[in-house]
Amino acid sequence: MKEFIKSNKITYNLMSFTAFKALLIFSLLLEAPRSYNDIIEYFANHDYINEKISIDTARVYINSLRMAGCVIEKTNRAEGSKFVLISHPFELEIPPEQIKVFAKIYKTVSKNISIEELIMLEKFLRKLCKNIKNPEFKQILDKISPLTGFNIKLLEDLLACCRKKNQITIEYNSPHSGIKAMEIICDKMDFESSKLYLYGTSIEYEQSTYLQVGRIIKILDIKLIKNEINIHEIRALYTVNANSQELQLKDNERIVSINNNQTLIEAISSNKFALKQRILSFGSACKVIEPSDLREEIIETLKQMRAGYQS
Amino acid sequence: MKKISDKYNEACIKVFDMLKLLSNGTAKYRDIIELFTNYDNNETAAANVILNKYLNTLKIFGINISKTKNIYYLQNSFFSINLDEKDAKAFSLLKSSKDYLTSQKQQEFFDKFLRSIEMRLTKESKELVETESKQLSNINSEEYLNKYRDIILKCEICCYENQKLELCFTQENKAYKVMCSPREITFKNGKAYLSVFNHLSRQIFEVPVDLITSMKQMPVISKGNEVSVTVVYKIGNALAKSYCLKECETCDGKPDENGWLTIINHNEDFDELLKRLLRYGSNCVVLSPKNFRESMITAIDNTLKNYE
Repeated sequence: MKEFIKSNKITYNLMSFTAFKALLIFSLLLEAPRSYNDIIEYFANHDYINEKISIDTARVYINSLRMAGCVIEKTNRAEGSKFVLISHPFELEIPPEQIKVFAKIYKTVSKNISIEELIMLEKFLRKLCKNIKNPEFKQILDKISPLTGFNIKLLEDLLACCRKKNQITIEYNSPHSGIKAMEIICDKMDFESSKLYLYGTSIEYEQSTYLQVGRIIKILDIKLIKNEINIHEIRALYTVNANSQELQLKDNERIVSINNNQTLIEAISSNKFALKQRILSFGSACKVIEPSDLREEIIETLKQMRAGYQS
Repeated sequence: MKKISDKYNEACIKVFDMLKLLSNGTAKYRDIIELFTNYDNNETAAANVILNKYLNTLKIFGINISKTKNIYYLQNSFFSINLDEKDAKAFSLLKSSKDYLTSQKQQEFFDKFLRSIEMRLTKESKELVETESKQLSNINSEEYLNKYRDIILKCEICCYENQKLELCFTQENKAYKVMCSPREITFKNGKAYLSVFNHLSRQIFEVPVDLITSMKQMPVISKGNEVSVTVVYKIGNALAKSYCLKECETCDGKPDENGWLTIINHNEDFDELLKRLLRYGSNCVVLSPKNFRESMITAIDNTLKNYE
């Protein structure tokens, strides 16, 4: 307003002062509940209006806002006789067809971005939900978001620990031994079979480990100095019969050679259990070359699996 | 004389009616001018004066409205959603993902959705979004999407039209031809897949669109109530204690006398499920259906043969 009056681009008779005052009252109510006195005082102290209005005039403005589609309630005297804007015609309402398309995009995007970006998107969308009138948007988001139910602050803290490779103690709800404290050197967070895991090195077992983030209750402490641990790493070599371009290698894997659609992979891991799971998931396309003890363990597991189908 | 409780300001109603029209993002000049012509039976010329008066009022209040080719565009709103840098980045990410939608209609809906948010952002937030959008390289799969856009679009149309499909594709150097019902397009790791229901095996599976060699729509509409085969398997030992059910799974939560828990799986892609269950080793046994149980046994036997 200041700019317009200064530059004389506009004169008072080229605008509607009544409409302007109605807009001012509306924006006042958008900010917080207001009483007649609040409105009168605001007008009296306003730089350009600078006008004392009566209670009746203020009342007419409130009536007008109601007629324009605003739902305004008045609190009782004990609560200061304030006008509360319950709803208004300009609230953001997302039509069902737009919600449907958003859901489609979100489902796709969430599978193709990093966990860091996913958290960022989740926070933004939750912020947006507060500004959207119809509950369907939030309902859909709750249904499709892979982060629904997670404590976002905890995820952010864990992610920060992963970036710094921090050694932390967490309170963990173990399916085997109940709630207990666990120490882990954080490495990364990622989804596997639609579940979010924290990957790192277990101080207790001195090997790489992964924990379901949903079972982490809180971070108890972050160590300034990391423990010196002696990790026994296994170097495994296995062949996979598949197009090397189709193979989605893990961080601990690298391609050694490719020969007639047969890819030789080297994997380095301190977690034999995870390594075995990875090898088994390839099915008959995979054959362990070395080490021999891992090869024997895979054969033994396969025999036990086969035995499960004998009965 | 009217009671105070019945009195109202016409100017207030007019400006709000105009804003209501504009709050969809755009409003035609014709519709807005009609608003003022209808009040007091004003002539168009007089209505134009009133319109300018209200446009000025809104401008002074801080609401910017632009006009291009007889269409008014609301640039901002009463709402002031304030975004920080990360929010702006997230919004830019969402904006750049429009390419995942191949149907023009869906893109239009998505544009409207984005616009309804954008016009409610504070000036600073809009600037942040603009900066972030410039910095954000388009979705990584842009090249892939451009390459396969036509086939993805064709798949989208098939899903929409819901006619039975004769689908031909090649996988691991083998050619396949299946009669199926198209379900949806999904994206994983930046690649598009056509999810279909195979009528013969009564299972849902996903075909990478880049492996599709031909698609022929049949003159028969797919039934909506196609029931896929459910897979029943049991898990034991430590796995039974720590297992988290997937969205497509159910379980009564009661282990049998030997500690095995029975899981019922609906609609998961058979190949994906087979790989997942193989990972569980001897802690998992497939119970039904017979063909999936046989597939599991064959997979185990063939893997064992690798070591003979």
